[in-house]
Amino acid sequence: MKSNMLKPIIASVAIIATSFACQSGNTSETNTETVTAEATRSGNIEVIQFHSEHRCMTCNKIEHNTQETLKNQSDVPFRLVNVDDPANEEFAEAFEATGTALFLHDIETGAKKNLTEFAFMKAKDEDAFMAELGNHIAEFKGQ
Amino acid sequence: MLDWLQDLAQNRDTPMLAAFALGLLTAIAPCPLATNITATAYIAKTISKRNMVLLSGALYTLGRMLTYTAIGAVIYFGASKFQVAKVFQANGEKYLGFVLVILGLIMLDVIKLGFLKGGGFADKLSDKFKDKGLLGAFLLGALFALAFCPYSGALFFAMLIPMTISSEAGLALPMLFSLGTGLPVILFAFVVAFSLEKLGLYFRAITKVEKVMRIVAGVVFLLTGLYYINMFFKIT
Repeated sequence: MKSNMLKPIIASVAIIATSFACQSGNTSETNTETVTAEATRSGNIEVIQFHSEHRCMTCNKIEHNTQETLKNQSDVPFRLVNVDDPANEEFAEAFEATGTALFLHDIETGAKKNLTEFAFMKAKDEDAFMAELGNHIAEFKGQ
Repeated sequence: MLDWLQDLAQNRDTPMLAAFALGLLTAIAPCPLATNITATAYIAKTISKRNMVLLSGALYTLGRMLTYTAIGAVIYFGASKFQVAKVFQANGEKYLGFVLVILGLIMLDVIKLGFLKGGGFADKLSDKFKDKGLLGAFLLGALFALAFCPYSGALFFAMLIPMTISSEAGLALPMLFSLGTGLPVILFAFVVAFSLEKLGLYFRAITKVEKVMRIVAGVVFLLTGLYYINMFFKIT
């Protein structure tokens, strides 16, 4: 009994120790949540929401808030893409989207902006979500 | 409170606090609620021994830590975040239902593993899972952490992992994230166990309450498992 109790503890401590030892260095990939591709913008943009087959409450709220925001932006279409549909595999891979993700996409130049973090953090506050998404769209269009 | 946590989770100047806040946000989100309830029921079932409740809670958190840190490490050392996230987000929750149903049936004594080859070992293991639960709590933590729902998947893969890769704190961040995901379950399990213990003492029926609690935990496993199976395979 005792040795069985100890095994998971020892294993975990070993993992913790190893990972702390491995902290230094790794600068191979600096990553921020909102990545804007270094491509020029044409102003011809769309909003894409990726989602998995099974959607959570927050994911549905993100779609609702985005649709509401775009009611005032008739020139910006909204696209919903199911990442679990094999037909969308290549497209999802281009955005590295696995579950729910929100992107601004320049249809002509291919530039994209990842808004997933913002979407999940602001989903519950519809007004703040709409205001901020509006700003992101304006900024992305280069206005 | 929620706004404050979300602000903290987005603050890249304090990545360690951000990782912990992301863990807390994952734990209190409605999406992984079913697994949290199951874990709470399992951890709280030994109501007469408070230390045992705390210890299983700690081991449950360590189990989560093992999974999150292992996944974090695989990506940290070069695996494609997209490919790893795809595997777990597409399959993590899908097969959880079956595992939970089997565990529920073991806890309710409906199935025994004695018929398997090396039945003695399997029997011992299932008895341990039912009664002592320390190793069980660890394994449960490791298993539940694999079940990424869309919300926890986004917080882990879209927020925590990029921070882990870019921050100097590195793989300490998935560990702090794990603490955040485990802490509310430990606290809640402790409150449940403490209340039930008081109830048991009041009615002088602590053994009876504990027995009922074990059955309740088994039923919770079974129901959560069926809920997941139904969600993914649309039986009803």
